[in-house]
Amino acid sequence: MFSGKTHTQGYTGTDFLLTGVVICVMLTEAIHLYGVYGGASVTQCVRLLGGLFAAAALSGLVICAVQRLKSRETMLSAVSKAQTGQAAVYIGFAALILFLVEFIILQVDNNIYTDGDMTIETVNTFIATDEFYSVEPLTGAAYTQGLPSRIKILCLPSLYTFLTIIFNMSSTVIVWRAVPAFVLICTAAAYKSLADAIFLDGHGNQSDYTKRNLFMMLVFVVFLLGDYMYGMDGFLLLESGFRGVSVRNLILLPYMVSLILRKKRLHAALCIIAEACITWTLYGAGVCLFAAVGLTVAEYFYNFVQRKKDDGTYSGKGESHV
Amino acid sequence: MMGHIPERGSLMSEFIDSAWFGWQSYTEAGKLAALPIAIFLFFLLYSEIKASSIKRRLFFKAEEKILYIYAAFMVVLCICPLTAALLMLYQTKFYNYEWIWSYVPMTAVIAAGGSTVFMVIWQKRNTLKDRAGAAFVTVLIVFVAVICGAGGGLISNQTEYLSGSEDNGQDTIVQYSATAVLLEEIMQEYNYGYETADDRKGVCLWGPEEILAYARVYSADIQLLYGRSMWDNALNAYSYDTYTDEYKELYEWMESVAEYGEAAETDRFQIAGALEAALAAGLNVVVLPGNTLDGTRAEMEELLGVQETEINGYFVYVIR
Repeated sequence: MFSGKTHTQGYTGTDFLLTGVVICVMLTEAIHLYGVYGGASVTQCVRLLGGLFAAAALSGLVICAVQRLKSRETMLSAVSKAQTGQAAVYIGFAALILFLVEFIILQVDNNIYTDGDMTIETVNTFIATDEFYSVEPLTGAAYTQGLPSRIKILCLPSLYTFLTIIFNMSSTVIVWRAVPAFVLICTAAAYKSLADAIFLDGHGNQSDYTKRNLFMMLVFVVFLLGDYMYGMDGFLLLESGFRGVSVRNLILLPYMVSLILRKKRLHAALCIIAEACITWTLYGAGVCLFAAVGLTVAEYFYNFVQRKKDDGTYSGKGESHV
Repeated sequence: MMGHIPERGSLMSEFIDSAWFGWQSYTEAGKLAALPIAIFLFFLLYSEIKASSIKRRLFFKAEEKILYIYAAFMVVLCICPLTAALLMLYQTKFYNYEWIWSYVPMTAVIAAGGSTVFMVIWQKRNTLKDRAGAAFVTVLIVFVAVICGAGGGLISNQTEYLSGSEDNGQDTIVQYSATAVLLEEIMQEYNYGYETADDRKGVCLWGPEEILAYARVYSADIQLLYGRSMWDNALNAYSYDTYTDEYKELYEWMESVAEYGEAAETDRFQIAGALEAALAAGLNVVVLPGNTLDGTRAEMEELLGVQETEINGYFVYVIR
């Protein structure tokens, strides 16, 4: 928020973080399916996942370092052109303070919304039985009829099981405290990515940075205001940040919108796949796919209207004055 | 989140009914959904004013406009019952009405539109009088936004949730911590009577909701006769298994005791049959609430053939 980095068509640090999260979800899904349908034990899957995460993290760091070195010269000249301005800095500080306030809320607030959720019971059951869905998590009794496949394939309980075992901590600490805090960080990254896509055009205007930092501040304000009903983004973040729908609405959706606006549609497809791994969808068709199609249609509609306007009068490339 | 699967022909009409009343329920606890509409109206009305007549102008990047076009279209789809029903069909019956609003990037639109509005308000405010005016408008907008958000839940009585539960998640961690202490002591009481771990069978617990809700959160080694899906309907979507009539009878009896200290006259210890089935299924720890009347406690001791132990205000019966 404070950096004078201008928006580039390439990838930024937030892209690496968020893409890393998406890839981790997909890797977890693969191992989870291997455990559920391949009969592997939880312990075996945790070892496999640990290895895959380490490899993915190492690869990501290498790619990130190489990309940074290559674009260093471009970035330095861009930084020298950028003028953040005093207002942008102050607003950026305000946004950072709100972010910290919400981080603290997540660590000290005792309100956790668990209606319709059995994540912790599932994690504890996976660890106790060393198997996936051999017994009903809510009772510990063996299944008689089974559970829907669309629930069985969702991988977040496995991911939290992995984190609980790796960090040797209580599942309640991982699921109720650590994960929501990480979701907050990724949410901030996703909305920053969206803000860069909407407001920054690479020319380094002061007002662009002011508007971007104002956007970030208002995002955190909206989260605080929206903490009144299950389904609102603020409530999902502050009282149930561990749920699949929370990760989808707070991280995947805004990041995907950012990617679509930056015309990185193939990359956006990763978010669509990740959503199918963590929430109940219509055979993989969820909110992200719908929004991706909707935004694409909106873009074509906008371009069509702009072409009609250009036929008549010149309105300036890429900007619309109201 | 999920209920029965109705016949195909009535599914659409059920969605339309949900969509018709869903908007009303969605805006009952707070009016944040009104802010994107207000922002779109502002942009629409502002564009009607000739730019030359005022010094402050709006500048949209193409990406921002595309976001607003998509969001505006989706807001209309979510409010109109027929299109909202189609969206509910797409998202499947697993989700309730309020989840179609996930298709609207509400936070992004409010934040982006709000930042544009504030930039317009504060643009070219060079005199003290101008800045005072801008500050007044800013405070007014913030006040309206806070009211729309019901003060983040502080203003409205937000204990009703669209999932149908009255539990608003307050103090979950405090409740869990207190229950964990109780369960720790119950487990110690249970283990006390056994010499080695090999002698012990697994714990199968029956008690009031406030204990069962956190028993499996505390430890997956504790088995339950019934779990939270007995009273939280949304959890029934996660399993095809259903509870037997005996277990439903035990649940109603226990909750009646938790509320009144004893079961209703007609239910009093007609659960003997259900209890016998539960014991055969492995039930070996029963917990009665602290307000249980002496008569009910005495009858439970007689039925189970064990003496009660008082632990942290609850009456515990361990069958070895």
